[in-house]
Amino acid sequence: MNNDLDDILMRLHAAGVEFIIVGGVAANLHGSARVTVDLDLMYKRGDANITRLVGALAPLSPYLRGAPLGLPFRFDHPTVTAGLNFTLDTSSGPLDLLGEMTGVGRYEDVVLHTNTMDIIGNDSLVIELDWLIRAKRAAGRPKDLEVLAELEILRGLTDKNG
Amino acid sequence: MYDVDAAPIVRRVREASALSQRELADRAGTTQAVVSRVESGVASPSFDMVRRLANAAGFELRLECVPHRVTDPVVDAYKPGVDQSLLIANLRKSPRERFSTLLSARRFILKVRRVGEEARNRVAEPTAKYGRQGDE
Repeated sequence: MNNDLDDILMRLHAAGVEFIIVGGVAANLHGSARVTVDLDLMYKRGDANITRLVGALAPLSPYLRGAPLGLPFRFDHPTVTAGLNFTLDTSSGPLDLLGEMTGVGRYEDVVLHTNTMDIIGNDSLVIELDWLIRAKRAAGRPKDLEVLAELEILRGLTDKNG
Repeated sequence: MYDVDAAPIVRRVREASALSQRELADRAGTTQAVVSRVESGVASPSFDMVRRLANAAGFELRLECVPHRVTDPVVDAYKPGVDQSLLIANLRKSPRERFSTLLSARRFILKVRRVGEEARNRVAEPTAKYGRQGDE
């Protein structure tokens, strides 16, 4: 395995973690020309999935992004259970783990609005373009305005081409 | 109650199955006149009738909820600046190819960042060690 986004995805698939690719990587998979460094994933809450998630990612030494070194942060089952959304640095790159997203809800809500894409030899769930737009719009961040413009154009092009 | 124009749906599935109105009507257990009225928009059929006609043509009728497509003038203002040729080129690629391109670009960006950080550190080191010029 290399130290890249595909490493994270392969580990999650191998462990049977239920997750959905959202955010910038999802935008890219829908055709966006923007390059993103972070990987945003929505994960299913629940003991069994959190156990698998922690088991898959712990070897990548996840740590709170931007936090000073030496904090008593442990990426383990109690921590993930007690939290919801995590902004992490890992040895395979920046990773945002989302238990919930403004505007679209939790895994159980979003999973109904996903596309299945084979990107690394496994079928990965990717949030639908319409729902990605909805999430970006709900986030209401100024930096997303340009992204939204691009996503809406992509939607128009996709609609046109069937 | 539902507010859906059934006419194009019924016409499309019937034509896709190469059925005449009478053939579709027979299969659905209704009359050609009913199919004709539905396709011309004269009649507003029940949801169940539309489903029967779709099934008779070999289709499933599915209802799907999708978010409202709202327009935002601020977002629209950014659209002229978007290079559509890049998007069109991306749409011709498979998701796997798009992901592969992302990985390459991402590696390049991370490398540039790392080189930048190293350069900043090299500049900062003498300052930290010896103090700034003029410091006593």
